[in-house]
Amino acid sequence: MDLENAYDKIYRYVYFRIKDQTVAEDITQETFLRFISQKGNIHDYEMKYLYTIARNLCIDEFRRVKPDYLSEDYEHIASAQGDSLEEQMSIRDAVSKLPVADQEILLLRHVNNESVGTISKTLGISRFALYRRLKSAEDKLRDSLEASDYEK
Amino acid sequence: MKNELKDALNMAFDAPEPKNKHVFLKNLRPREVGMIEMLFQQVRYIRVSVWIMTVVIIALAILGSCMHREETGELIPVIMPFLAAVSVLENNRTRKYGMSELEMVTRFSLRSVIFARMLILGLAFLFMIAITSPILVMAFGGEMLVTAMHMLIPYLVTMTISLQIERSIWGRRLEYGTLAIAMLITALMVWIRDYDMALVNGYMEMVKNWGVLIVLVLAVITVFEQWRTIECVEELA
Repeated sequence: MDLENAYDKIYRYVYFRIKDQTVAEDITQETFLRFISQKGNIHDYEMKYLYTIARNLCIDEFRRVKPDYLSEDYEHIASAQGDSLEEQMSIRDAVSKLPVADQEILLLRHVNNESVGTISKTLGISRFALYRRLKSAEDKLRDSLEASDYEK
Repeated sequence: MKNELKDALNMAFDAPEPKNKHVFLKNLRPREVGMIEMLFQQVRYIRVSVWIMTVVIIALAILGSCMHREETGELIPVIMPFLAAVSVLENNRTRKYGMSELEMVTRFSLRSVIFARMLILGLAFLFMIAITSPILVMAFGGEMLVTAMHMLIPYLVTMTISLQIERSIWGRRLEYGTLAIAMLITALMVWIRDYDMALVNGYMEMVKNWGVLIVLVLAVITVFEQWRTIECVEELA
């Protein structure tokens, strides 16, 4: 995996947690810089370390200032057009109804395509617990989307 | 998970395009790495077979000593040429491919990387001899220095010849020519031991009297040969 791809994944993950483009990008870059300062070399990066650093930086950011969640998020969606906008809004609503922990697992597994090992180490849970929570999150999302007629 | 759901999730977690990604990645520079840290990093790139062989020799010395097998003292010097061959092959691989060090040569020259590896291997083998010699002396008697010289001489002779041949045109073509040299020296040692005891006794006497000097001369020649090998790096890399 190239560095650019890793950057995108970390940025997407941070954006999911912070919902502010500028802050998300700052945290993403800080994640890489901290990794280099610890390991000395970015070419040997491991995603689980990058996620862990990013996660901790997000927690620090939350402690520092409670981010204004919705404004920019919906601003970003509003750039989509017509049916796409409606569809995107309904999917986001379905996802947002899930607990944040479930959203995080779905993002890491199905959007960032991370391995079960990487996710379980990032979140500090066992593989078994991860499989169980992933299945539960998928079922809840499926139900939620069916309820909003997304899959018809 | 169905593809539709996967697509839906991609849409749900869509993030705006990062603005400074390319500038940031372009300017991403690794921090400075010191010489000692570089040496430790290089240890990881040395093939496992080299370490296995070193450990096997130590294990042989321990096992042979525990079982009171007197031939252990003769067996280890006979194996030493192969250790030298493995060491030269490892350096050859470093110089020839320069692949695993690619990341390091952005900060250090390929010469430094090769020098670092030679240093690591040399120190590792010296450490191995420093462990093995007392074990053999405690088990079978004799002088520590003479035992160490017995191990070092075949090692240094193989290193010197291998490094010279490796730089030659046919040495570059024959990738495993170094192993052939090790086999030749080992075979010669075994043959002399089996057929000419007078020569063996003469050799033992010479090592006892002149061992340190012989090793010093061979060590200087080996270092010189390694220096010449490093000198050739740029034209071969």
